[in-house]
Parts: sequence; structure tokens; C-alpha cells
Amino acid sequence: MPENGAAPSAAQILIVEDEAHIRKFLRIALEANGYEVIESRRGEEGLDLALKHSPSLIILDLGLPDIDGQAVISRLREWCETPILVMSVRSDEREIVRALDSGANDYVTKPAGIAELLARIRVLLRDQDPDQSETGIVECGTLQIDLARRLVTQDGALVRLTRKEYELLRLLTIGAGRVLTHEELLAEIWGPEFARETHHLRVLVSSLRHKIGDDPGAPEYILTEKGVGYRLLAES
Amino acid sequence: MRLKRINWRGVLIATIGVLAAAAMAPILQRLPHANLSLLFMTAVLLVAARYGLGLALYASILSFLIFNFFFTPPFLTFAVTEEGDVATLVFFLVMASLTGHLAARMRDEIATRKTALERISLLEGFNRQLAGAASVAEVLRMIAARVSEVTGKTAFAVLPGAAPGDPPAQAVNGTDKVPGIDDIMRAASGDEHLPGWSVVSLKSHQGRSTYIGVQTDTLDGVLRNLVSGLGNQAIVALDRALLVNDLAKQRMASERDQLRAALLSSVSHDLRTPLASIIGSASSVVELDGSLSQANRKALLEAVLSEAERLDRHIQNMLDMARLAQGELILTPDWVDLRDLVASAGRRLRALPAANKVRVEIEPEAELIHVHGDLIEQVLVNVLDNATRYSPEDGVIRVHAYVSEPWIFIDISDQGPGIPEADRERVFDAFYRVISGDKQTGTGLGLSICRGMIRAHGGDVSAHACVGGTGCLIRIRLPRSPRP
Repeated sequence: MPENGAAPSAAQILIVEDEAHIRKFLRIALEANGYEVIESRRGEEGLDLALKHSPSLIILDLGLPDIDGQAVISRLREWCETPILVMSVRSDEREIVRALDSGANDYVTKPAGIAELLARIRVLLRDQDPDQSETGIVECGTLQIDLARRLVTQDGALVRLTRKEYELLRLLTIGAGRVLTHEELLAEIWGPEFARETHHLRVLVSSLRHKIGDDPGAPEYILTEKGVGYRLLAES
Repeated sequence: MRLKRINWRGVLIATIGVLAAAAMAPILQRLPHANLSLLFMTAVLLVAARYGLGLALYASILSFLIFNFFFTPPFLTFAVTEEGDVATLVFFLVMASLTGHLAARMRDEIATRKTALERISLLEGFNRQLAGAASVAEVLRMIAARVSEVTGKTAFAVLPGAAPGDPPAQAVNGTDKVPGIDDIMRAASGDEHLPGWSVVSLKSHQGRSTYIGVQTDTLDGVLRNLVSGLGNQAIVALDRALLVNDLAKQRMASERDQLRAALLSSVSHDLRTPLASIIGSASSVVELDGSLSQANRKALLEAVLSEAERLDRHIQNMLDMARLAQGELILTPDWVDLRDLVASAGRRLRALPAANKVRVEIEPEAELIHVHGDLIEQVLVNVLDNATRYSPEDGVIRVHAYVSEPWIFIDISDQGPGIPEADRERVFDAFYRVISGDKQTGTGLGLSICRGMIRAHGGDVSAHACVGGTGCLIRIRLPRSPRP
């Protein structure tokens, strides 16, 4: 995409990050991909900008000079549903899960390459797209998921899934590329009281992988985010 | 009956008592014999009560002889003419043995009670003393001192180490050398005799034995009991001291773990932050190759360069920290121009937000300083790095150096948010930032390294509020050397 070839309704992205150099490369890379960029180095100012500009996406660092990034997520979620992509050097899984549980949509652990970051941004922005309804047919590699008729085929052949296996695949498909936390999946499939019973989920993921021929060592469809959750590998 | 030695004092008193009765007798001459004999009986009774059976018998025989000599006809002879006098002698003897026996029992009883009472008060006093003991060493010292006091001999108290091979804790009261722990343990188990020492072993609730030794070949029953009594009380205090010890060790271990975790987190944060910029910028250049303007490409590459330099600074800081911690920092002071150091620190920081203006004011007498140049430059880099990081975009950083004998002061102030008074000392703690949540980058190790380096020069560094405004003032104080 040419640097100044932004679409007329260019998506606006807010960067809340205290590192000048990170803001810099994000701005250059995002603008080169046709996004419009606004930035802030502090949490409070970031919240103000989010309110004023209603951006399509917020890239948020957790370690901010004034208020903690986790607090920024909670406060944003009090009044808006704008997708939040957390970018942090904190690789501690508990931090990530906490951020996701309090409303962040996805995360990238620093340091990360720009390609990975752009892919995540595309997924989050596509999620926002109202055209993508739950009744469509989603293709993922050789897998075809018909959300309306609740049918899953692989290379044209029907894949027989149990109700829970289908539900898991459906959730991952809707999330397309976005990480879904263990807690989120457990609560959706088994109910909120099972939110801590991760072993149920492991067994279910294992059987689903088996049926769609996915190798956990070199996954084609379901990627394990250790200690956090799972995501469907979106085409990129 | 205990009559091992003749109690000459008792004999004297008994004799005097009987003689006194005899002397009083003429005054009571008018009374009949039988009543007169009561006078002597009183003397015998008193002697019996005071000195027991032996002297009572002596007193009764003496009384009879005097009574017979002076007061019964024929007077002034020992001849016995009347049968009644024989009866008097027999009465004297019977009374003497009866009362003597009773008196002896009474005395024994009193003596036992007295010992028991003394022992109770001794143990109680010891207990009070032990209540104040905080450490194992202190408890052992108290045991040794008290046992030595009670027995009048050199005494020791030994607690073998927790694991085989650990050195024992021990205390000794007296001048003699404590025998080896193995010898003591063998003596306590009765396998072997330890020449010159008697050993009492006591088991604590935690299953560890403590040994008390007294320098005597035999410890008689009473003393042995007393020593065990003291020991048993001390065991409680010893258990408590051991427990306190264990708790303190656990706490230290957990603090060490926390510090290690903080260090790891700090290292990963300080290294990853510049790496995030480097990888992000470099991958942008690679991925967006075709769509980048010349200016943007240059900006990205400059970011890669400056962040790599920053990474290098962090690594330098970590190495310095390790060297400071191990005491391996060797100073080689020389005369340097402070203006050069500030300029070179500024050059190393050129990559930091350029909008921050640095105003340098160095008074002429503060220009030349006698320091290890590289280290002071590193200090300036760290402090300026912090100042730029906390400054607002258009903030001014002021470096002001001046002399106030016997010091040279270098004040570096920024227009950032400042440091709350409560935290001004803590910012110099290594890893403080990590503990307080990594709201800023690259500050944790930096300031604590500054303090280490400046203190190595005989100076100090402290944080203050800026005079008349917001912001933080870091004051470096260096001793002023006489000019060459």
C-alpha cells in the first residue's frame, strides 16, 4: 500500500505508549499502511484522546508514567467498546490474563516485529466490521465452517464434531485471530462456574485438534498461547 | 544418725546451758528436788532442739552428774543413795533421747523445706532471666553461668549443630576448655566416661539434645537434680530461640528470592524496552521497504541506532552494578574538566528526546574536579537520562555546578512531576522501580549505581524538590581536592 494511499474512511488508531521510539516506528508503520495515528505518552491524556476522537483501535502499553495500563483498560471499558491491543514488556501471563479479563481484546509481548503487530490490528479491526456476521461461511486453511448450518467440512468432507467441540471451534472462529482466554472459553462452553477448570478445556482442545488433524507441535489452526488461552490462526 | 564430726561449738553451748541451769539452781534451792530437776530438763530440751540427739544425751548425762554432785545427798559426791535419783537419771536420758529425736526430725524437715524453697526461687529467677533471652547463644550462656554459680565449678552448655557437620553452639562459664562435641555426646549416652566432667543431657521438644557439663567427676543426686531442673527450664527458652532463628532465616530467604525476582524482572524490562524499539523499527524498514519515505526510513534507522546505544548503557549499568556489589570497583582519580564530562554525557544521550533543552552552568572554581572520569560521566548519563525521561516535552534540564567548601556540588534539576518526599531516599534503592510497578523505564538500577559510584568517591547523591517550582533536583556532592 502506498504511504499516502489511505482509504477515504481511514481507521484511526490511538497509541498510548511512553517510549518515544516505539511511538515513532508505530506511527511510521501504521501511516504507511493507511491508518491515521494519534498518540499520547500518558494514560490520562490517552483517555482524554479516546473520548475526544473515538478511535477505531487503541494500542496500549501497560507501563505508563502516570497511571497503570490495567487501570486505563478498566476505565475505557466503563464507556466504550473500542478494541484494545495491549503491548507490553510484561511477559508475565497473569498480567496478560488480567488485561484480557478486564476488557483488552488482544495482546502483543514486546519486543515484537511489525508484521505480527499489523496482523493483530487487522484482525481486531475486521472484528469491528459489521459485514462479518455470524451467519456466514468462514474458511480457515482447508477447513470450512458454516456458521448458519453448523457444519464443518475439511477438503469437502464432513467433520463430525460433538456439541462442545463445535462450540469451541465456533468461538475461535468468531474471535478469528484474537486470543480467547481459558476463562472466557470455559465460561462460554461450560458456564461461569467452570471458569477455573482448565483441564476440561485441555481435553476438549485436544479432541478437536485430533478431529481436524491439527498438530499441537506445528499448529495449522489452533495456536496455544501458554498460560493465557487459544487463538485461531487467521489467514494472513 | 549423722554424727560424723563432733560439733565442738555445740558441746560448748550444751555445757554452758547445763552450767547455767546449775547456777540458777541455788536460787531455787527452796523448791523440792523433783522441781529442781525440771530446770536441768529445760536445758537438755533446749540443747536437743538446737543440736539434736547426740548433744542432748551429752547434756542429760552432764546434768545428771551436776545434779547428783551438788543437789542430792550426799552432797558433793557422785554417790547415789536414793532410788529416786536413779529414776531422775533414767528420766533425764529418756527425755533427752525423745526430745532429741523429735528435734532432729524437726530440724531435718526445716532444712529440706529451706532447700526446696531456695531451689524454687533459684529456678524462678532463672526463668525470669530466660524470658529475656532472644538467641540460642544467649540461652546457652545463661545456662552455663547459672549452673556454674550453683555448683561452684566450671560449667558448659552445648547445642550440637542441626545437621551433622554443622558447628555446635556452645557457652562456657569458667576458664577450662570445653571438650569436643563427640566426646560430650558419648559421655551423655553413657558409652564412655569423660574425665573430669559430668554431663547431663536434655531433650528439647524439637528432638534436639542439649548437653550441660560440670567440671566434677561425680555430680551427686541433689546437684544433678538441680542442674537438670535448670536445664529443663532452659529447654523451653532454647526451643523458642531456635524457632525465632528459623523464622528469621525463612524471612531472609524469602527476601533474597524477592530481590532475585526483582533483579530478573528489572533486567528483562531494561533490556526488552530498547529491544522492542529496535525490532519494531528494523522490521518496519524491512516489511514496508517500498512504501517508506526517505525521511521515515532514516528516522527508523536512527531509532535502531540510538536504542542499541541505550541497550549498551543498560548493559554497562548492570556490569557496574555487579562490580559495585562485589567491591571490584577500583578508582583511578585524575584531574578532569567537568564541562567535558557533561558534554560527553550529553553526546551519549543525544538520542533522547531532543526537545529537552539542557542548560549547563558550571562556575569556574567547579570546573576542575579530581575524579575517576568514566564513572562520573556514567553518573551524569544516568541522572540526565532520568531527567529527560521525566521531563515534559518542552522541559528544560539545568545542570548547575558550584563550590561550597569542602564540597563541589552538581545539581541536576528537571521540570517533571518530581519525586514525592517519602520516596526521595528509596529511589536510590536498587530495584525500587520494579517494586513500585515499572511506570518508568531505566531508572531502577541507574540511580542506585550513581549512589554507589559517588560514595566510592567519598561523596553522596540525594534527591530534592526543585526550589520554587515543580520537578526533581538530584544533588551530587563530591569532596573538593586541593588543586595540583
